[in-house]
Amino acid sequence: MTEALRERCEAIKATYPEAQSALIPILHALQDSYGYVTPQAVEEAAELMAMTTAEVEGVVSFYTLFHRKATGRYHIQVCDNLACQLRGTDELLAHLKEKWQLEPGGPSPDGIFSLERVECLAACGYAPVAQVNLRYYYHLTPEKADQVLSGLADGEEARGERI
Amino acid sequence: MINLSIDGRSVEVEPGTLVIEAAKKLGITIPVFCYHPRMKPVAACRMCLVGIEKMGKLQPACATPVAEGMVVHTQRPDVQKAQAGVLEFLLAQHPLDCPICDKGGECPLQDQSFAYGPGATRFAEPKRHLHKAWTLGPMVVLDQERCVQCQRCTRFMEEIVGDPVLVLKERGAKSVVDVADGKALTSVFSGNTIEMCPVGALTSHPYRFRARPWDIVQVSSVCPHCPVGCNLTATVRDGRVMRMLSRENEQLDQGWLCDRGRFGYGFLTAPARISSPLIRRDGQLVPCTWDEAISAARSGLEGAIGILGGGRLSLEAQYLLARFRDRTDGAVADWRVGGQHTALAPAGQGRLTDLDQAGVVLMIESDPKTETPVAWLRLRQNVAHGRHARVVAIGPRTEEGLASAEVLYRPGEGASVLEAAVAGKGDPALVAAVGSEEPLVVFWNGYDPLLYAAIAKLVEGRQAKTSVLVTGADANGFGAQAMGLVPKAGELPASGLLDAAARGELDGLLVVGTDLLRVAPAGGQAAAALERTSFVVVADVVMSDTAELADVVLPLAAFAEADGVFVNMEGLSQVFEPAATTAGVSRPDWEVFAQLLGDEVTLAEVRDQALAALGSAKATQPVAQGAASQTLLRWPTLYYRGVTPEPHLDSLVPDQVVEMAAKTARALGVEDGEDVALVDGETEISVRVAVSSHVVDDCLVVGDWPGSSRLGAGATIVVRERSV
Amino acid sequence: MNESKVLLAHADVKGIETLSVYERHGGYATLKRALTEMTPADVVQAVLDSGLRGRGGAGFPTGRKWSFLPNDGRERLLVCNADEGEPGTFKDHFLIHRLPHLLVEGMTLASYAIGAPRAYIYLRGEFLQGYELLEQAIAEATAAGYLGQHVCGTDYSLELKLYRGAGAYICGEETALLDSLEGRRGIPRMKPPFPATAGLYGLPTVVNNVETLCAVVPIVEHGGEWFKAMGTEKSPGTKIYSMSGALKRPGNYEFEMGVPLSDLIEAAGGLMAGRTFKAVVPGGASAAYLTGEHIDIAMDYDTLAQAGTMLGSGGVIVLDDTVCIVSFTRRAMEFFRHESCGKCTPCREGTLWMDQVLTRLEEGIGTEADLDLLLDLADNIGGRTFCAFGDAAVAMVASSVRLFRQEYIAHFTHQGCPLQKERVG
Ligand SMILES: Cc1cc2nc3c(=O)[nH]c(=O)nc-3n(C[C@H](O)[C@H](O)[C@H](O)COP(=O)(O)O)c2cc1C
Ligand code: SF4
Ligand code: FES
Repeated sequence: MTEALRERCEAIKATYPEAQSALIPILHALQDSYGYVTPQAVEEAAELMAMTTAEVEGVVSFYTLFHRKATGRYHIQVCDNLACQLRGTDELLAHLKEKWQLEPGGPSPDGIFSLERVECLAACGYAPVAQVNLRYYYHLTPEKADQVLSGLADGEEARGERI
Repeated sequence: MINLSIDGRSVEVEPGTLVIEAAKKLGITIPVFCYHPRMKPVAACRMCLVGIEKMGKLQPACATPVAEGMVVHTQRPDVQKAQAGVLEFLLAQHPLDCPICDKGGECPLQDQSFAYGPGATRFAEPKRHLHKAWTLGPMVVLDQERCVQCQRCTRFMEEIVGDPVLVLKERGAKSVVDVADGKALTSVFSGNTIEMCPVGALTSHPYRFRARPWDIVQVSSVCPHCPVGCNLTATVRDGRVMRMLSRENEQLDQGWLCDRGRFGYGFLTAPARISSPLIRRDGQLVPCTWDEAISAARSGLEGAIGILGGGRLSLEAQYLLARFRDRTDGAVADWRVGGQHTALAPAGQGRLTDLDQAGVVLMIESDPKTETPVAWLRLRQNVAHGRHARVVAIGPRTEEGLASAEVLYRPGEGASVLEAAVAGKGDPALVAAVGSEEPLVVFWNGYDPLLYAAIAKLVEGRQAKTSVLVTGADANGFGAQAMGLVPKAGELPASGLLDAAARGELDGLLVVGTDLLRVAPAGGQAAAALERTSFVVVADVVMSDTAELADVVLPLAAFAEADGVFVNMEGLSQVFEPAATTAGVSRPDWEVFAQLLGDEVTLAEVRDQALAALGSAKATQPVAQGAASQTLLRWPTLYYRGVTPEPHLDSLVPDQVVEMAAKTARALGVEDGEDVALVDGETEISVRVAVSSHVVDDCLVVGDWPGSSRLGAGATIVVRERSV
Repeated sequence: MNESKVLLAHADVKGIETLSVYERHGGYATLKRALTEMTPADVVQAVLDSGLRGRGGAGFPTGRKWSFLPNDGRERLLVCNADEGEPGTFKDHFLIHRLPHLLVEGMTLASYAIGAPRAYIYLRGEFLQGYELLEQAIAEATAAGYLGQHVCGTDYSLELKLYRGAGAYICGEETALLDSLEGRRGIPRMKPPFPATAGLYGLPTVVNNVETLCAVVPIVEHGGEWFKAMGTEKSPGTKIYSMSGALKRPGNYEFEMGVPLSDLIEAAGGLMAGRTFKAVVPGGASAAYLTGEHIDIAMDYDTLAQAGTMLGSGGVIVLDDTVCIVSFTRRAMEFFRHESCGKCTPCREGTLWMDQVLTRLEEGIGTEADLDLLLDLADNIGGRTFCAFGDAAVAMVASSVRLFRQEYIAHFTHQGCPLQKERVG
């Protein structure tokens, strides 16, 4: 663990001094830093929080945003819940598969993208919706998806959109 | 008091009682899976749903407190439908492997399906696949497909033991019970999870596939591994103990066992069991008849003889052994071969239930989690959920866990530290503890004789209730001492006897139920004693290094193979029953000593006399042994205390370490985790350095593992060359 | 009925997420006035008078919830439930991303009212952008004296903390939320004790939804009576309806409670050309379907409850004739199966089983006995689970079997979906 990361975690602990409250924010911080919740991150979180590693793993495995394997540099979460289904998620997913060879699972061979189908992202009025590194993209037609992904492949930052 | 009615019958209960407990009082059984009377309800399984008038939905009886005038229905059609529904859900994905499941025949899921289930399942989908034989730890295997997610096991580890190493992972229909990746369930209490599991999900490595419930008998027994004396039920098939379960005793064990007790029966059938009397001929130990062995022993044990051991015998055998000593001129007996001083409290003899009421607990050179694990667990319930007793641990090495304050001092300084505290001097937490007006329980290992007097004085001087529990004795050390297997005034204690024997001053040694070479402290002395004494008789259950040196070996039946009484640390006598067929022609211990005496007695007569003697036994002060002040300290380790070889527990034996304070390590130039050797004369033992904040400076602490007894107080550390 | 923009009055103003623009449109004036001119009891009274009912789904009167806190000297806490994850609901998302200062102001008012020195926003983990916006808003508000020590120069101080969850719908359930905020798996807690007596860290805690807390601002600004005059008698005020699905202009629309469903649909642009109305899920995926006979139903708590469904969080998903009910219902059940915390048997096992059955039925494999099975399983889950998730999980499927039995049967006879799998686009 780098000194900076440790300091960040200690600052989180100071923000949430009660119970184990700092655990989830610390796991977010470790994941941001390591790319996913590595076994080392579990050990470090357990040590910081004076918990057993089993407890930390119990928490990590409960929440879908904690990844236990590497994701792509851009992790794309496509909502395929009710409202998005009604407005073309299936087409979008089919397009991503055909054009971009992206399917749910591990990262693409170049490590740039990974895809995950997720539950409702609470943006049903702007369906179909996806997030790239947790930044929202709304009204995702196949054409718009191409634009966004091309930009990212060219090294743009995933900034997302405002509603 | 609160009045309510359940199925039309009224009942009166304390406020705060749960509906399920009120129903039990009426003899009404409400089926459960997740509910366990010793843990907080979670109302997760929904098996216990009942109808309560004026409440819309069905309510979980396991989590609903009673209220005045409440009207409960447990047999209403909607309740029955709910029960059948829950069972159908539990069985939907449940594997159909009852015929090969260890739990088959004694399975609450099976029983409840029969009593409350839907009859046929409507489930026609492919079943969920999870790990079938998932090793959680050395003792416990999990079938994740059979698990019903009642969380009894995970809650036990968290709530009761306070060590949440077994948890639920994932969520929803994918939830599984598991340990951390790459870790194992090594808790001292892991086996309880197996017994609490209401289905066949958690099974024990030793018992897996060993027996089916319909070809077994259950026999009452008492654990022989420590002075708590937890109550056991032995599961026996074809004369062999297949498994030990708890035989819940609220006053003692509250239904819990430690793994040493639960799995420590493997020695009964270990290859080391002695199946026939042995006699030395032409330098070789060879089988002989009982008559030959007994008469050889009788004629050899004359003159100045030392009788060593006996803390693990039945009370009846101890009684007869004391009689044998009395009838043999020049014989001196002492059960305390491990360096103990007493098994009885010097004053204020405590009961385990005192732990529930204690406001303060003082651990004096005691490590109850290792010595008497289930007593520790009882204390933990107080600390975590009950009166929240304050725990203060003092000694050259203190236990880690429950203590909120610790005082470290050099070996031998305990009495002066304690006396100072009584006088109001020293560590404030300790002073406050001894001076507290709340009930106090003292755990003491019973070793340092100076502490004997100091503790007696402490008890005398206190106004509030004070109870003393001695943790360091053998399972029946109390009995041995009460039967008088200690030297009388002017006689030599065990260590002195060994010294005398080592000088060639004894005519004979009778070693009973102990491996002197492993147990007796202070390097080399026991070996010399056995070598220099011309006639040595060993009576034991298993062959040992000591028995190998004997002239006559008398094979004893083990605890589960004979009748007898053990007296626990509280002075409570408990009967154990014969469950298994004994090894070869070995005989119950009392019978062997009766034969040695040449007395014609029955077990019933001996037991009556022994129990009468127990009743009148006083906490007589045993003859002092030299006060310890060594730098090398032996400390109990859980899985060596039993001395007997223990196949099931082998894998649990921890690495051999030498513990020391950081300062000591620095002075010696060693580091935490480093491999070093401990050297004392000829003896050299490889160990790993463990730096601990629970050890006093300048003191080395080693476990009581084999060989450590050969290290004297002056053993030195040699740093090994680091392998590249 | 026309839209009545109260909470959303300034939602479309450019830059409203910044303090200066928010202030220019009257932001924080109410807070200032309340803190200097009103006692905490006055604020509680205004909310009691308004009849405001919690917008998180259960519709519990907010003023009453605040009055339940025991007066035993313990510190009190306010927690904002911003875990919005109910399929079909996206109003909190909108409020947070557009009007972060409205939430901060509402929370400060509520905290003042209940006497909480600390308040928490439990934000769903996916709302990273919302997190940043709120972080910014909190920083601005603190710098301007609307938060922190001596709010608006008074003796009242408030520390507002932001907390991000990590992906679990069940954490919207208020006690699971508290466990998650305490750093554990988000598993619902036993009630009683209710959060009001032993909530976060065991302290008396009020948990309120984002929209509920935002509504406090106009209520205190205009008075409880003003709010109560809108909507229906038992469901007063305005409500943000999240309109999604087969509509021309899906989005959030704020109406007085009791607005006819048809007006909502019209406001959202109506159905797409050539399509006809088939069904609606009026309160997020936890609500039972309604069909054409209810097209004019008043969208308030009680009317919808009488019709066997619920307003819930106000997520209205509209289905037209191209939608396969079996497929849609199965997808909802997949969601519940995936999001069940797993604690209790009927929910954990029942949602898995029902998802399995529905998957099979969607493929056209099954018989009518399976429909009865679904209804009976729903009956064995509903009302039997540890928390309200179980009821939520079965509402859609049970109503689908009752209302669309023929469509299920058509799947068996066609050995698959008889509707062309056409999507609204
Ligand atoms: C399964 C489940 C999910 C819930 N999700 C949410 C949610 O995302 N947001 C929310 O405010 N309330 C949610 N609730 C309701 C909360 O438990 C709680 O009633 C609400 O936050 C109280 O706030 P209110 O009184 O302002 O409505 C959910 C309840 C259940 C049973
Ligand atoms: S109903 Fe039971 S399993 Fe489902 S979410 Fe609630 S507590 Fe968890
Ligand atoms: S025994 Fe009551 S819910 Fe499990």
